[in-house]
Amino acid sequence: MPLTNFSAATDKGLLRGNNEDSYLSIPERGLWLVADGMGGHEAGEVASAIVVETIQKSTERGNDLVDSIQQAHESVLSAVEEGVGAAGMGSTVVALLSDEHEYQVAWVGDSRAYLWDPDSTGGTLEQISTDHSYVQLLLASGAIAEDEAATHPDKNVITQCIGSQDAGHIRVDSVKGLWRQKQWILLCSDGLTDELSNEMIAQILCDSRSVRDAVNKLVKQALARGGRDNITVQIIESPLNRLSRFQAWWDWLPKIVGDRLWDSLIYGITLLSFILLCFWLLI
Amino acid sequence: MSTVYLAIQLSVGREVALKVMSPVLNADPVFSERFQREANIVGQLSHPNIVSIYDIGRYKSLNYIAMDYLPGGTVHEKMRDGLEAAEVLTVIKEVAKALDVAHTKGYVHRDVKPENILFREDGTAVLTDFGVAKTTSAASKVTNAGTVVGTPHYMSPEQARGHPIDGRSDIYSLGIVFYEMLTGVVPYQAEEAVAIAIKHLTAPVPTLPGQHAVYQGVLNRLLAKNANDRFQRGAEIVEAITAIEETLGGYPARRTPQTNPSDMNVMALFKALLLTSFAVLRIKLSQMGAGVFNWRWTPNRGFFRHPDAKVTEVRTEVDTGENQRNTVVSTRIRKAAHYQEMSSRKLGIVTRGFALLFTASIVWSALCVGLVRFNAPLDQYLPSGLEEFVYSTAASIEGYAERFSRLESAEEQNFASSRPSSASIQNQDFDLLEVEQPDRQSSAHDVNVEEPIPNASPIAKSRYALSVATEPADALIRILNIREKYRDGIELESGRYHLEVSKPGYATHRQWVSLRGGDLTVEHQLEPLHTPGEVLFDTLANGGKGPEMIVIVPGRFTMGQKGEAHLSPERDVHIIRKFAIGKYEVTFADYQQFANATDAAIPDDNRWGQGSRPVINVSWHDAMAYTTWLSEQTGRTYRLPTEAEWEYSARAGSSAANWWGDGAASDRANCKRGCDSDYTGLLSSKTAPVGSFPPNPFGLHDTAGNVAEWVLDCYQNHYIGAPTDGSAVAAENCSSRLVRGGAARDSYTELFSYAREKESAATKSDMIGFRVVREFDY
Repeated sequence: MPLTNFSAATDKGLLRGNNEDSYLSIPERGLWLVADGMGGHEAGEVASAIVVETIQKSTERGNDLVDSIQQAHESVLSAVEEGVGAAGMGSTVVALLSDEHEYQVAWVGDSRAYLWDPDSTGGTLEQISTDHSYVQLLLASGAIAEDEAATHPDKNVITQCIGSQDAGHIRVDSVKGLWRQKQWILLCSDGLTDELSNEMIAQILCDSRSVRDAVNKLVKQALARGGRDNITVQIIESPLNRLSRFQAWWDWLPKIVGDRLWDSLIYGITLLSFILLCFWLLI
Repeated sequence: MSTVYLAIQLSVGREVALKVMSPVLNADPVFSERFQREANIVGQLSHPNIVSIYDIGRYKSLNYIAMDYLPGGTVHEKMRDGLEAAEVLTVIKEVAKALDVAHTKGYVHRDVKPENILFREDGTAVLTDFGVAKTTSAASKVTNAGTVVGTPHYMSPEQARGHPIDGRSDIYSLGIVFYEMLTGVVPYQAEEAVAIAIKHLTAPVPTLPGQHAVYQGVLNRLLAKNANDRFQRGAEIVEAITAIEETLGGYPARRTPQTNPSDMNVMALFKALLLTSFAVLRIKLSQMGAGVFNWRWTPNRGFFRHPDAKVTEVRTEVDTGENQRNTVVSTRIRKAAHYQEMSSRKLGIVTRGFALLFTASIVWSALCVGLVRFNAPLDQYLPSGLEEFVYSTAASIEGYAERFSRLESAEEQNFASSRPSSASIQNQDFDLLEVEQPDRQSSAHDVNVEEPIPNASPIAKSRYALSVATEPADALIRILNIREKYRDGIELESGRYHLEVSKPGYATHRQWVSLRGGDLTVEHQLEPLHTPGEVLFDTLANGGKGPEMIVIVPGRFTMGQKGEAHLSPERDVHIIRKFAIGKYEVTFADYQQFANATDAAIPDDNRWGQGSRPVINVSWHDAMAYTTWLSEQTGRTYRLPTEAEWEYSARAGSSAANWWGDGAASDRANCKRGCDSDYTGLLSSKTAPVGSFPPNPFGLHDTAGNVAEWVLDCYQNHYIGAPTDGSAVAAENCSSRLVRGGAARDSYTELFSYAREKESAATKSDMIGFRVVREFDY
């Protein structure tokens, strides 16, 4: 697949002494991810590094993104058992797996993914991921309102993370989508979203000309507004150069081989056979 | 985080509880602060129901606090042993007093739970663990980033909501403890922390079991959702409880229930559980309801939905001023551009399987129908099982198509008959029915069908009798495309049926018959199955005997010869159809019968003799006329052999120049040189009676020598483009034919199996005769 244009940056922020965030960019395989480690005493770095490494290896073996994240969870738990890092260490993750037509975003915790879709008069910024946070759940249940959520003191309390001890199995959320031209996907740790509201991020993306420019501006702005946590940002550009005219048709044909050429051949032969059958039997 | 030891303070010799912070956490400001704060707060609170602090300090890397040693255990432990209602009231009163003191000083405990209420030796309850307590005044700004939330069983609604809290939050928590002490369970239970929090926010105050109903009023005020409706201070709780104790006259607050107390208890518990679950259930249901309507489905993606996404829009008003862009930013919730897959991967595999099955079955159906339609010789290429499958597939599909088209035509007829103008058609239909009905019934009686046929039901109208008459009569008859077994005069719905007639020793015959508009009798004469090498002859119409034929097994051979233009290219020929070829050349005796019957002239025999000598002086046209006549006489298909059939039969499996090898004929053929024949001399050569020389491995005599033989093909001076399946080269206005096998006047080198000689079709020569081939229908 053609290499995709992307840009990544990380900063330890102004208050923290270490950077517990990790990120990974493999444009050849269409894999990008951001992991935000936690657990103090440098264990956070260990956890996020294990997550990055495990997901990289697991997807390379052809595993599903969701399964790979699940595997990362087990790796962190077994690392703790072996005495690597510290007990209670964990990490959030948000990962993007993309091919020429589709993208899949999977996440655990409160690292976020956004979809930026520019148009001639501006653009829309869509939050792809929903945080696995306590406040998000309260909000979703309707127990609290949007404005209460923004100021909730437990804003940073997450309901699950990779390596959480009490859950043998974590729930990995995932969405898929079809790329459109000129779209960007932004992956970031909560260091960015704590400092910048969605409106500010949208404004910055709208004013940026390239992904590189946008990443720099975002990090700079987050630092200017306090930079209380590690900040990691990745922006990936849509690999689509032209729109596929048969996209809508493909949705209605189940994959057989998985490769478009073979599938179209099979369906072509089937159609031909069907026409012949009709010709023989009904005329 | 910290460990509590039982220690002895040496200076005063008393037992203390020594809380030591884990040294790993020294560097962590959050924990250090928490540790210090606990000491500070407790130090300011002096009350018999609040744990007292003796000392705080640091030894080497260990931070510690020395506190009251409380050997009575926690409420949590006491509950396991069971608590009397009176004890419960005492504990609540004491903790309420403690909270009153703390709240008055401006502290909120924030973590009131059974584990944090301990007992002194004398049974007095003591409130401990002010680790997370906070002053009400200070803005709460402790960052607990990245902690996973615990189980908030004792959390107040305002805590759940994230609002600022005060002492009344502790009073709510105490209410939960009160309920738990009375009933043994916490009121709001759920698997997830969030669900519990939601219940705290929305579920009604639980009802106490019957025997504790007196305390319901107190509980209601403790657990009021709105902080303003609760007891405002600990002192108020103490008053309320004291009042209850007084009305009950100091007796344990236990009314003897008339029914079985355990039943009541269970019922009340059940009711409480039901009520509390209801709120959560309602929320979940409304979420699910909204979710269901969002579902979409395509075969490629399976089930999916577009979730609600928070979308921030940036709109730029294009301004003429340079670098001056006014932008408007707005946020709203709308359907997302991406989608969430709802179906599992297993379902994906199932879809894939179905798709594969669907495409494969359509392709297979088309293939089967095509093969059967074009009468492909399946029996020669496919194993019988597969062949059977092809036939049955084609049969069932044709059956469906038949039924479908019948349905359509029936509709058309209905439509037509409903119109008055087509009255004649209607009448015809009636006529047909009237004639048919009695006819069918009588025939049914005749063949004595076991099942009684329903009288004139509309379905029965379209059933007709099918019988198959075979020769010989004891053949096995099957109908391949239906389940029912064939019996003579079987009643079948109209349609197409695939018959199979078989008998050991005879060729199996398959045939499609169409049963429509009347009874049908199919006649079939079984072909005896001729085995390769078998000698057979057909009987002529006048009772005479046809030429003796040998059955040849089909096969492959290499035809032609490299290096000679008229024999090139050398190529593989695959003879597919079984045939029989004359054992001998056609003799004068054979030809005589033809001549007599058709008044044709008898050719000149050169005075060599007739009878069993091969017929000579016949043109290609004469030979053709003979085969045509023979076919008419026998009812079989006779013709001249094709060039390929001739060479295949002459070679008889040998790839050498002749069937005996590459050498001279030496007594194996009638030729002039290299044959040592008695019929050829230096001056004259004449034909030998057929069969004077030994046969080749296929049993054919005189393929080499004696007379050259006409073949069916048109002559080309090469083999380019000649068929490779054993059929003849055909051409319009063909002027030249050819002969094969050499003659008595040739040398043995002209007798080779591959040798060919161009001749005009009209040529009559004393060295040219022919032999015939009989085709089989199967």
